[in-house]
Amino acid sequence: MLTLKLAARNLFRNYRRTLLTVLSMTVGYWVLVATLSLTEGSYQSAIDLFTTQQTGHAQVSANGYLDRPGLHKTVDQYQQVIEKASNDERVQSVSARIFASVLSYGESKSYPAQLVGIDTGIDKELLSNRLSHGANRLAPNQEDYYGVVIGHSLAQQVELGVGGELVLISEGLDGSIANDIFIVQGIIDSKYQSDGMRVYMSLESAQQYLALYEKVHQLVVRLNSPSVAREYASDMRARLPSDLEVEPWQIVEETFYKSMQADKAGGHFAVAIVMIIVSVAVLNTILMSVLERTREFGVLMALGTPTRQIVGLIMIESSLLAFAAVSIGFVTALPANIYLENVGFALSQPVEMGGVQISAITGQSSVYTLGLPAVVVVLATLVVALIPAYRIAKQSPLSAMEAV
Amino acid sequence: MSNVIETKSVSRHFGKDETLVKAIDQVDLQIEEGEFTAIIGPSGSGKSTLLQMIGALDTPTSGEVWLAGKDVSAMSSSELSSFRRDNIGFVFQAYNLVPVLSARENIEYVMLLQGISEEERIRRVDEILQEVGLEGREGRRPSELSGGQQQRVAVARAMVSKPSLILADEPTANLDSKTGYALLDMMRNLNEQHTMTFVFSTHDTKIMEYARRIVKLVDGKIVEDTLK
Ligand SMILES: Nc1ncnc2c1ncn2[C@@H]1O[C@H](COP(=O)(O)OP(=O)(O)OP(=O)(O)O)[C@@H](O)[C@H]1O
Ligand SMILES: [Mg+2]
Repeated sequence: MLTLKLAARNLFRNYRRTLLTVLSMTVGYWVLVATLSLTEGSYQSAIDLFTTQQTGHAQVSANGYLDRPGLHKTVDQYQQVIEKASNDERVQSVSARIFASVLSYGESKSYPAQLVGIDTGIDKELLSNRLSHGANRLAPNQEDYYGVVIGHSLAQQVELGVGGELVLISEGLDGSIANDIFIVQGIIDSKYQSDGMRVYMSLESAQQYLALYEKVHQLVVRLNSPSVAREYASDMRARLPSDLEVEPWQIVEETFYKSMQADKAGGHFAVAIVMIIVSVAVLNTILMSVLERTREFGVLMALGTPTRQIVGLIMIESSLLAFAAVSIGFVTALPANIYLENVGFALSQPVEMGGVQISAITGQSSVYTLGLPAVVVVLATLVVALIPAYRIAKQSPLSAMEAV
Repeated sequence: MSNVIETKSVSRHFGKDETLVKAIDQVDLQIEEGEFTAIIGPSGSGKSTLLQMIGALDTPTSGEVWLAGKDVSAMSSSELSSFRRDNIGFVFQAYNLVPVLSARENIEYVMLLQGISEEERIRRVDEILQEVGLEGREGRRPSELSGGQQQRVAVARAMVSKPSLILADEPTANLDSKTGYALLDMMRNLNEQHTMTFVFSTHDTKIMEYARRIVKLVDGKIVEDTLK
């Protein structure tokens, strides 16, 4: 009680320095919140974009398909599976996909490519925003040739533009040779590198081409929130036939997930740097405010004040500073962060994050983004305050009283 | 009467070899309960060093220091700390008081460390404030008090916890002479009323007149010990 009173009064004694210290801690808190909020926010929007546009949040496929994809490893009677997989309130949509390796011929050259058959209903947005040339038209034309959208690199390799005839050769499920002509209707922009060698077509054309009737390779499940993906996957594993596997996006898109985690780790590094800068500033003021009172502490020790009480006094003063900074920081950072979360700021140039183009940076308000900085500021202050506390504690009352 | 202080051939040396300083050199000194003693001597004669050992703030290089029946030369620093809290009242030359505490709170401080009840603390502070002539000023911070008043608060703080002994190292050195005499006058009155043991150091010849016993140090040795 006495210690608390002393601590509070000591802080008011040099209120200008107190204010300055609190302010530097508050700024530290802000920077930490901003860093975390923006990393988490862009991480989240990259995941949202990537999963909704491309992979979905969970995927259903035949056992073993994920490890070693193959034409024969199919999800049979997939309409029924879709029905089962959709019968869950977490689910937004389920769409089917087909994959195959093909050999593609253009004007003169041939190249291996990756065929992707997509649901033109549910996945109609998948391609529309990514084209550099042509249009997202996968339906058959008047002559009954199906349209395809191909990757930029493939277009260059086979030397085809929009309107060109692409011949694809592969093996059908029944062992026959699949061989057909498709019309290039659109070309995907070169910045989508993972799409570079892909050929997108409608599910039905892929099924016809590969003789995959009533069969697909993958069901893409979009959920209301990416965060329930793991839960949903394990629930579905139990509900669907045992020859099917269900995996959340974190597993299916392991590379993407890992690159996101690595980005986040980079963010933590920035947080550590900020923390060190703030700590040094705080150390400086706390050290000054303690050492200039050495004589006073000496008198207190001479009167019989136990050392731990002196250390306690210094620690309490520092925690009061930290709590004040965190309170002010929280109250001011919260509205700013909510703004960042809802509005964010647009980037003049979109940046790529894990294969997704992000055109606006948004923040995130959560216990993590607002709470962790508070914990970090308080802990860093306490650690820093231990230094002057230790210096005082190891002095004898006499040497402390003789200090200038 | 029993001895509050007894030093047995106590020495305190600083440095070694050619820089060796025998600040206190084999001093035997007994001080009885209720004495009002001045330690005098030229600058550097060892007055402060002796008071620091008697005050359990410093431990001797050799010899023993017995205070209130206990050998303090053998105590650990935390034992010394609580020993000082319960047995010794200090009045230093300056910067005695905690600047952020009022006069009353400064006086209360040691009693708080001792865990004395609030009721008792208030009673004792009220009483001592009157005795040192500071009624009505108990709410002031040290910076709002004159030097003499600050030293009175320090004396009050030293006495209020009822220690065995009150030590004052040059308590008047920062005061003008008139204020200094008044302080000594007050201390001596308190000594008489409470039979509390006071030991103070000074090199002011007029101040030493207030003492009933004068111990003179030169080069760390007692050269004169007069009782009036
Ligand atoms: N911590 C120390 N380290 C080294 N020498 C010291 C120390 N403290 C005191 N001395 C030396 O011991 C001797 C006695 O010092 P002390 O302070 O006890 O004298 P004093 O009688 O109180 O003098 P003054 O009247 O100036 O206060 C001096 O020579 C001093 O230089
Ligand atoms: Mg001295």
